[in-house]
Amino acid sequence: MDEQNWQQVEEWMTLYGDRIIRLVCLVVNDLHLAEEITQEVFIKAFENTPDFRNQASPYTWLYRIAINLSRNYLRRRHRLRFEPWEEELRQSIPEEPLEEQVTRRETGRKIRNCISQLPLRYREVIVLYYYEDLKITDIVKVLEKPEGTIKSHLARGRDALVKVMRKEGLAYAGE
Amino acid sequence: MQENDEFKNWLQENLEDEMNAIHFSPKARAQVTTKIKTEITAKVTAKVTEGTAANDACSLPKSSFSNAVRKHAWRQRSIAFPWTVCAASILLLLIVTGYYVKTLFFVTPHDIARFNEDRQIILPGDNTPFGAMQMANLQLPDQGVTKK
Repeated sequence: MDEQNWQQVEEWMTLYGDRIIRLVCLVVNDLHLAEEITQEVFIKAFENTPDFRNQASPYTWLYRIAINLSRNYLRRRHRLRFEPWEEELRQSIPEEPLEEQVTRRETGRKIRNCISQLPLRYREVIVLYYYEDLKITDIVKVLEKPEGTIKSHLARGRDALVKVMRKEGLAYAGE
Repeated sequence: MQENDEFKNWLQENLEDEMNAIHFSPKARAQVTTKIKTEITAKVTAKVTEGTAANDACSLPKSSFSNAVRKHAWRQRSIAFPWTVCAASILLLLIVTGYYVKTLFFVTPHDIARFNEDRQIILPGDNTPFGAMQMANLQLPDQGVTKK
């Protein structure tokens, strides 16, 4: 049974490993912490695989574990730290980026910074809806909150994000 | 709705390069593999040990020590209190102590009047305790003080 569970978790690591670490990165804004949390997600998934059976799609279940672990870590740390992970990312990109890529990377970095300034309850919904492209019904399963609350947080989160982006000098053409 | 989709597309396009450079590294995956395999091995070892202990239990008397350990295993659990609980407990302790010694509370004129109203023992002879004057009088000749 354990071997079976382990094979299942190995498959999930291949399918969802990158998505989970990116989601957690946006929520906690710390690359090293995100890697630790992602490791713990799969360990917890292995320990609780019997609870998963036919419950939900694997990615909503894994996302729920990731969000809960991120909240626990943030609560323990009491504050966000902005870890400059540009150095690690620069090392992972072999070729010299084009100018427009540099501009887009710079904008991406600023957007990530703006998202990190949002309160946690808005940040989770914004990341799951706008970045992960989940439907509201899936976000309800991940965050275990009522649909009305999710929609309200989404609307307020979006307004807050736009306000922060304006303050940081980020121009969104739709505004 | 359309505006929302445009905002979503704009956000995703701009975050794409930044986030696509992040991967769940092979080193991190290997660490997860190691931890899970260690857990599986530990479970198998525990099962074997239990099985051996069960076989032994049929022939040998039960160890009271191991029973006691199992019975009191709850004492071995680690407990962690959040900082807010500790801070609130200390604050409550200070308030209770302050109330008890009335350090933190202002003594009102009403309280002073009430204290003054309490019955007081007034002794004759300028509040000197009974017998002290007589004892002092008796000792005067010894100290060289005589009546003229």
